[in-house]
Amino acid sequence: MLEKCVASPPNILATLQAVQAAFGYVPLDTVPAIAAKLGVTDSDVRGVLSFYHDLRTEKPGKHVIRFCLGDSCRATHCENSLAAIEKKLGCELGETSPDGKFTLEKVYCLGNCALSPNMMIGEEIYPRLTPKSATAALEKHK
Amino acid sequence: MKVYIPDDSAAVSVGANRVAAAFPKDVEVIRTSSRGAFFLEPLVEIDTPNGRAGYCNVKPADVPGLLKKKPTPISKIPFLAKQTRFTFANAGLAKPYDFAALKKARGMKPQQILDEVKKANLRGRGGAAFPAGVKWQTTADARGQPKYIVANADEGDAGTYSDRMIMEGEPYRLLEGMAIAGLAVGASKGYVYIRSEYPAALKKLRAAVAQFTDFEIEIVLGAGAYICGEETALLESIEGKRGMVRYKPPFPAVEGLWGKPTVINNVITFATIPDIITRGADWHASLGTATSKGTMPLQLAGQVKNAGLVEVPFGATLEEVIYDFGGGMPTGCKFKAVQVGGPLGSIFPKKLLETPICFDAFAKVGGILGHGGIVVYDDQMDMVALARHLMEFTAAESCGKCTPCRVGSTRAREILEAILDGDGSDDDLALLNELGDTMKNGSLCALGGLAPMPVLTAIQYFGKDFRRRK
Amino acid sequence: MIITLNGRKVEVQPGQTIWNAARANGVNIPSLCASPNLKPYGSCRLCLCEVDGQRGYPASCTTPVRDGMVVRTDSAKLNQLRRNVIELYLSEQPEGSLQLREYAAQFGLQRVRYRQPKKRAYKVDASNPFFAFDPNKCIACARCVRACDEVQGTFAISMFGRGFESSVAAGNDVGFAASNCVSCGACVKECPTDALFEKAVAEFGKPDYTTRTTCAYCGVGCNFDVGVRAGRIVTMRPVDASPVNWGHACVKGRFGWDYVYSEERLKKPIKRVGDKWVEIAWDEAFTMIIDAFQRAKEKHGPDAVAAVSSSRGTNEENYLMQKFMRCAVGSNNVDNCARVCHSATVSGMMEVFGTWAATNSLNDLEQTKLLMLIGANPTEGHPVTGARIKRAIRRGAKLIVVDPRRIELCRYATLHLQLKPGTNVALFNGLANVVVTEGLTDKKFIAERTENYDAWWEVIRKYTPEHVAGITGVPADKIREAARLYATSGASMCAHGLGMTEHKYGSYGIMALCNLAILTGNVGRPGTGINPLRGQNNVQGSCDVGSMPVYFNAYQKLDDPAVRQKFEVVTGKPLPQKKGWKTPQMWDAALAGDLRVMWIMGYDVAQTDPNLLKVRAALDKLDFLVVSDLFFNETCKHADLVLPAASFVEKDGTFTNGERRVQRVHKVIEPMHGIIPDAEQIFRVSAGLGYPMKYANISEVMDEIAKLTPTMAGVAYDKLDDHFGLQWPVPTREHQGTGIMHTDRFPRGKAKFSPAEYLPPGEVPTDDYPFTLVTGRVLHHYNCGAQTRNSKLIEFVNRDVLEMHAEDATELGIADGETVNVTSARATIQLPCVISERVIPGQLFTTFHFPDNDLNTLLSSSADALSSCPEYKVLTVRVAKLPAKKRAPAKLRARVLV
Repeated sequence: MLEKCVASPPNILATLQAVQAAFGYVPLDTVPAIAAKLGVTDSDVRGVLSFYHDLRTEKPGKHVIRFCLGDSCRATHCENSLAAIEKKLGCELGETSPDGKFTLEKVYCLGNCALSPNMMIGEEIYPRLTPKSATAALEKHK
Repeated sequence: MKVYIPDDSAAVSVGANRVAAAFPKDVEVIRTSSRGAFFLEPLVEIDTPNGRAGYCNVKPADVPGLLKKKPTPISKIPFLAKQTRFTFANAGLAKPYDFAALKKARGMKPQQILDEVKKANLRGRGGAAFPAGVKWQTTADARGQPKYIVANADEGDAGTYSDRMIMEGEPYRLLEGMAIAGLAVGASKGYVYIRSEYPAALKKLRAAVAQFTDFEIEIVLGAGAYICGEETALLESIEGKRGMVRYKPPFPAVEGLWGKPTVINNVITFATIPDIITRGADWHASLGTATSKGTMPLQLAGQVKNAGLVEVPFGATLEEVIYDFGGGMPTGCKFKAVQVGGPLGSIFPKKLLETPICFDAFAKVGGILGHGGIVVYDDQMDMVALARHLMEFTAAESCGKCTPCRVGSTRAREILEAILDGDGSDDDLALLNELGDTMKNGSLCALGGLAPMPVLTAIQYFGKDFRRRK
Repeated sequence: MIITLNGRKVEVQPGQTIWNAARANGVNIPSLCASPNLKPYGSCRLCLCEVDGQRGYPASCTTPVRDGMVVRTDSAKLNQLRRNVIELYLSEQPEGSLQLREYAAQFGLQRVRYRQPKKRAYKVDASNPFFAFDPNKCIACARCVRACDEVQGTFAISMFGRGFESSVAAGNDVGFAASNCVSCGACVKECPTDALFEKAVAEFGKPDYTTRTTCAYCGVGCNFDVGVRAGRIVTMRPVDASPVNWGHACVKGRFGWDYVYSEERLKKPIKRVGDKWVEIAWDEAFTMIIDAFQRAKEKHGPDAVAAVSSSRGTNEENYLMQKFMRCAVGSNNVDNCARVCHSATVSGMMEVFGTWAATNSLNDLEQTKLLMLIGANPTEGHPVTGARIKRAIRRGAKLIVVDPRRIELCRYATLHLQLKPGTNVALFNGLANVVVTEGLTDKKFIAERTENYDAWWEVIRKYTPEHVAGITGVPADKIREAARLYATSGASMCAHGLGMTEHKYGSYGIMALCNLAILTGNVGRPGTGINPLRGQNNVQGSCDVGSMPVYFNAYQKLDDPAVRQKFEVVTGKPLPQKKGWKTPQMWDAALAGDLRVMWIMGYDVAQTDPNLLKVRAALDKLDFLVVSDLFFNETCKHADLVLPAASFVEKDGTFTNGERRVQRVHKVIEPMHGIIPDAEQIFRVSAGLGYPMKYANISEVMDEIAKLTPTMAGVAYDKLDDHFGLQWPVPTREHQGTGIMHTDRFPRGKAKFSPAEYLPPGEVPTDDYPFTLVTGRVLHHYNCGAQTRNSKLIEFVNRDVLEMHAEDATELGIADGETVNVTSARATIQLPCVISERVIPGQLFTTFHFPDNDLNTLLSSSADALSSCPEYKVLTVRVAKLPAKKRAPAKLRARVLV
C-alpha cells in the first residue's frame, strides 16, 4: 500500500491520510516503515502526524462523531446538545465511549451554518440539533 | 412531470434525499444545486409558464399530493428575488456548464486577460482582499517554472459555506476560473486544497475534475487545521509538511509551491472570473462601492430567521442584509451582536449595523469582511463566554511558530476564564488590551494578528459583561 | 546598497536581511530565534523593527534590505512589544533561562502579570551521554530542528504538535539516544535558552575562559574553543568563523574528549617484571630506554633500532622523532601510521602530479558542480565534511558515489556505482575510456599541461564500458553516464577515502583517478581536484615533516646532496644514506633478528596492522620495546616499558589537516598526573644518547621545520594564530598559503598520464571463502578506539558488528544479532552479525574499533606494491553459525547509519 505513496518529493501528509483511510488510524509503530518508504526520517513523519487534528494514533470507536463548535453553532447554543450527547455516551469531547461505539471529536465548522447547530456522524450531517434530536441521532448508528 | 430537488449537502441534511425518494417513478426527479435559501429547504421546484415555482420545507410525508398544491413562484420569494446574483446565478438551475469564458479567454493574449482582471478591480474574496489582477501579474512576471494555480477551498471560517456551495453546485465554475488564471500567468498545473470536513463537496469536485481536461488539476485534502487556510501554511500542507506559516516576503506569487511562482486565491475569487471575462471588466467595476467592486456572496448564519446565501453588490448595509434578507431575529430572540468575517472577526453591536458591506468601510470601524460570513448572536449569548470560546479556537488552531499567538492565545483564554469565574479585574482588561496589541502587531500571520479582535471589540461594546463578579 | 539604520547611513549587501545587515554594522537587534548559521524563521518576534513607508512592525530577521530603506530598531513601541514577548515566554517558564532574564532586564520587565495556572512539568530527556533536553526551558524557536536539518542534514528531530503544545522530539518520539541523532551537538550550540544543555557544563559550570585549538580525531581538523572552568575542560565549542568547520562538529570532536579524564589513562611509566607491571620513576624509565638503544647501536648497529611515530601526534613531535632517529641514533628506520592509510595516495599522486596531498580545499565543496566520492563514507568518517557535502547537494551540486556499500550519501546521489571490491583501476580506466571515445576531453589542458597521453591511451583503449562492466559489476550505461557527468559538469571534484588506497593495487587506482582528472581538466581550478580525505588528525603532517624511512621532509630524497647539506647545517649531523624500513618491513626484520629495539609512539600496531599474528610475534622477538601512549593498548601488552603520553589538550604544537592546513594546537591544561609530554620524552632520550636538542620553545621546532621543508618555509606560530592556520605550500614568510594547488604547473612540471592495468585483488571469492569482507569505521568510534572506547562514546556503540545482507543471513540461517564465526585463510574470529541494507549479497562489512575480536588477524600481508599500504578492503572469508548457539553479547549497542 505504501508503494503507491512514493513520490518525488515525498508527501508525508498524503501518505498518512492514506494509511488512516486504510486502517482508521495511524499506529505509531508504523512510523518507521512509513519514513523508510518515503525516504524521510521518523521525526519528520511524527512531526506531520502530530500536527493535523484529523490524524489519530489510536483506534477510533466504530463511529466518529464530529461535533461542530463553530461560531454559528455556538450562536444557536449547541452546548446543550453537546452536554446531552456526552451524558448519553459517557465520555467527553476527544474521547471514545466506554463501549467503543463512538469517538466524539470536536470540529470547527462543517459548512452547514445556515442550519446550525450541526454534527456529523460518518458522512451524515445532523442539523438543527436539540438535545433530543442529538441523542436520537446516536440511535441510528449502531 | 419534472421536479427539481437540490442534492446540496445542507438540503440533504434536512431530508432532501428522502423527499426525492418519496416521489413515484413517473415523476422525473432532477437533482440540482441549492439556491442557498436554506431556511426553505427541502425546496422542491417545478417549471411553470412564468418560470420556476417551488414548495418550501417539504417533508417526505408531504410528497403524495404535493404537486396538486399551489407552489410559490421563486420570483416572489423576497430572499431570493431581491438578490443580485452573478457568481451564484446558476444556483438551483439545471443548466449544463458552457465554458464560454474559457473559450473567450483562449482567444485572448495572456496580458489581455491580466489587464481585464486588473481593470475589473477584483479584490480577493478569501479575506485579505488583495487585488487579484495585481497578484496574477506578479506571478506572470516572476521567473521560475513551472508555475502553479492554487484554489484555497479550506473555508475554515465558521459561518461560511459559499465555497462549499460552488464546489457542490457548480464546480466547473471554479475550475474554469483556475484554467483562465493558468492561461494568464503561464501556469501548467492547478491544485484545489479542500477541507476534509466537506465530504460531499469532495465527491462532486472529484467528478468534475475527472471530466475537466482543459487544465491539469489535482485535489489535495486538508486534515483538520484551520491555519491551513492561511495561504503559506496551505502551501506547506500541499507539500505534505506541517502546516506552518511562512514569513512574507517572499510572497507566494513569486515564491510559492515548492518555491515556484504561485497564484493562490479563494474559490469565490476564481468563481467570479468567468463573468468578468464574458461580461467585461467594466461591468464588474460598475457594481459595488468606490473601493470594493462587484458583488459579494454573503453567508447568513446564527440566530437569524432566514439563513442562507445572499449575493448583493458591495454597498448594502449589514442591517439590510440581516433584516431585509435575513428576516431579522427568530421568534423569541433578541438581537445582541453580529460577527462578520469568521471567528476572528470583530463583534459589532446594534449601532454598527449601518456599516455598508465594503472592505474599507468595515476596516474603518475596526472590523473585517473576511469571506463574508455573518453570524448573528442573540441576548442569550454571554460575550465573555463567546470571547473565551473564540480565543480557545485560536489557541487550538495556532500553528505554534510565533510567540504572541502560540503563548498569547492561551494566556488570553486563561484571563477570560478568570473573568468568567468572576475572578477578573480592571487590570485583567488592561492586560487583555495590551496582550491584544502585542498579538496584533507582533504575530507572524493574520491568525494571531486578528485573534484579539473579537475579545477587544466585545470588551469595547459589551464591557458590562466583562465586569462581573461571582 | 545604502540604508539608513537608526539615523545612520550604512552599507549593506543586496539579499541580506535587515537583521544580518544590522549585525554586520554593529547593531545587534534582539532575537532568540535568529541565528547567523541558519535560515530565518520568524518565531520569537523580538527582532521587530520600524520601516518607513511600511505598515506594522516587520521582523528584521526575515525582511530583506531595499535600497534607501529607512529602518529603526529601537523605539518605545518596539521596546514595549519586546517586553511583552519576553513576558509571554516567562509566563511559560517562571524560572526562565539566563537569556530570557537578561532580556527581561534589558526591556524593563518588572514582573510577569499573567496568572500561571499550570507549571511546566516535562520530563528531561537525558538519554544521550553528553547532552540533555529539558523541555521546560524550550521556547519553540526551532533553532535545534533547523540546525539538524540545515547544518548537519540528519533530520533527527522535529517540532511535534502545534500551538501551545508545540515541542521538540527525536525520532519516533523515542528520545535522542534511540533516534537517528548523530550527537553532533549542532542543536545544543544553537539553543538560546539552555533547554538543550551539555551535561559536563551542567555538572561543572560554564567556562571561565576558552582556548582555541584543533581537534585530534580526524583529518578534517575542526577548530574548537575549549571551555575551561576551574582548571577543568567542560566544553568544546566549534568555531563559527573557521573555514574548516564553519561552526560545526561531530560527536567525537564535540563531546568525545572526555577520554582525557578517563581513569584508564596511563599515569606513570610502568615496566614489565615477569607478567606484572610495576610503576617506576620517569628518570628510571629514560635510563632504561637510553641503555637499550645504546646497547643495540653498539652491538648491532644503528639500523637495529627503529621508531614509529604517531599520525595523531603533532608535527613537532613527528619531526623530533625522525630527527632523533636520524641524528641521535643514526638510522632512517622511522615510519608512522600513514603507512596503513593513505600511503597509496602518496605514491599514486607522486607518479602523476609529483605531489602527495589534496590538490584543493574543503571550501571547494561550495564551488563544485559535481562531487565524485570514492571509497569513503564521510557522514561517518569525516562527519563535518559529510554534512558539508549534503549542503552542497542541496545547493545544486551533483553527487556520484563509487562504493561497494550503500552508504548514507547514496540517497542523495545522482549515481551510485556499486562496484566489486578491488576493481577500482578497471572502473576509472573505463570512465576515462568513455571520456575519450565520446570526445569529452579537455584538449587544451592535455596539450599544455600533460605528457605521455599516447602511451596511456594505448593501455586504456581496451577498457570499454562493456569490458569494465564485466569486471566491476557496474552496468555499462551507468559507466557512460558517470563519465559524461564528470567530464561535462564544468567543475568536478574527487574526494576519496581508504576504499581507494587500502588495496593491493591502491596506488594504481589513485593513478587511474588522477588520469581522469587531467584528462578532463578537473584539477588546478576551484571546485575540482583530487582530494584524499585524510584520516587522522595529523597523518598529512607526520609525513610532511619527514617521519618516513625512504624520504625526508616533504618527500625530499635522502640522497639529494642539497637536502643533505641543509640537513647537516641545521642539525649538525649527516643525514643517514641507507633507506630505512617501512613498518611491514620492520616486522620482517624483527622476526629475522635484524631489528632489536623499537620505540612505538601513539600507534597501536598490535591491533591495527594487518596480519596481526605476525606483528605480535615480531614485537615479542624484540630485545626491547618501549611504547608511549595514552592508554594501555594491545601493543603495550608486548612492551617492556610503557610511558604515558600527553593528550592534545595538554601540549602545544600543530596538526596539518587533509587540506594541507597547518593549524595550531594550544595547550589548554597542564599535563595530568605529572606526565612528561612526548616531545620532552624525545628530548630526554636524545640527550641521553649524546645528542641534546635545545629549543627554548616548541615554536622553535616549527621554525626549524620551516627551514628544512620547502613547502612550509613560511610557516611560523605567530602567522598561524592570525589566520586559521596556513595551507601549504607557504614558500615565504609573506605568503598567505595556497588553497588550490597546480593552478599553473605541477611539481613535476607537466602531469604524467600513468597507465595502470587492472589486476585482481589479493584475494578473490572461492568456494572455501565465498564472502568479500570490507573493513572500515563507524561514526562513534575512531580507528583502534583508543580514545573513543575510553569515552562515553562507548554508550552508543560497544561492539564491532558484522553487517550482512538479509538474503545471505537467511540462506545461512543466521538471525539478526547472532554471533558467528568468521574465518579467513589465516584465522577465525567471532562477531555478532547484524542484518544491513548497506552491503549487497556476497559482501560483508565490519569495523576494527574493539580489540577483543582481533579482526586484523584475518588479514594477510597483501599490500600495495608501491607503497606497502595493506589491503584492508578486500579479504575473503566464510561465515558459519557457532556450533553451540551463543547468544549475542548482553547490551549489544550498534548503529547502522543508512
